[in-house]
Amino acid sequence: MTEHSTLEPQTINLKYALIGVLFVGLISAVLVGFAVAVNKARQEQVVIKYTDETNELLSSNLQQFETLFKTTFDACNQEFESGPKPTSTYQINSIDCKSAKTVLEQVNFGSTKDSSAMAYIRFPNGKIEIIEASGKYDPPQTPQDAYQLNWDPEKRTALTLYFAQGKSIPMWDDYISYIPGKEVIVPVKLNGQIIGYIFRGVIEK
Amino acid sequence: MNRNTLERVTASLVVLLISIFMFGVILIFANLIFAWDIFPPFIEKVMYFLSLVFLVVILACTLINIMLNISRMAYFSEKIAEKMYDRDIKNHK
Repeated sequence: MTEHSTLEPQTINLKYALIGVLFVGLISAVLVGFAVAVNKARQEQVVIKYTDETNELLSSNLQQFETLFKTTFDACNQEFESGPKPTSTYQINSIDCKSAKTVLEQVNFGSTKDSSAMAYIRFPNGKIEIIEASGKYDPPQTPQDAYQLNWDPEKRTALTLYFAQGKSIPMWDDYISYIPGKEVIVPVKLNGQIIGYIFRGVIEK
Repeated sequence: MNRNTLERVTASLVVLLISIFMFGVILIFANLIFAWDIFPPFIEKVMYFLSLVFLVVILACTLINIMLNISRMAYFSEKIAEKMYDRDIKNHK
């Protein structure tokens, strides 16, 4: 019987390789599953926290926000209509609205974080109308044309369905392109009716 | 530090760090693909930085290990050549 030489190639044993792959796959699945659960819990926590903060802000500045959503949007629209029109489709279609700046200056943001990362949105007649935190007014545009929204067509469609039909969407996601990170959507209600929406950027610096 | 000890330490360190890093990279790719929000942005940056630190340590230890082993291989090759030369001399005598 010949002695087994260490120089001879040995047969590959796939059993240990398969066990290794299964082990790595199992650990990865456990870690990913754990991360998904933690992610979901944190999302709920952030949405609740920012919604509660925003509702507190709304209730302590009710008059200002009622004016903003019921009157200021219309005043800004009149300001826009009476001003010079963009001469090309590539010109950015927005104005610095004096009425909006005045109303927003009256809001007492107190200890509300990241007040400059807020967007105030209305959805009249299937079009999106925005007042940015700086007082800049973006006139009504279809969701497909609104450059302020996330470029992802699925997110635009989801947002449109949320505004139009109250369809359930993630309340914390990247919907506004010019606000860094993701935003929490807080509907603004007056007498049980939604008069607009506040999108609060979650900056967490 | 003894060369053999250093070689063993770097080899063990690389195996351990690569094993941990492998799971870390899987989670990093999952985070990028599924857009998770497990940590605030600052903590995420710190974790990406730590991942890079791991990678640098892995690469450095791998290089050190390779250099030490090349040096050992050269030494043993020299020893084998000397023994073969001595054997040849003896056979011709």
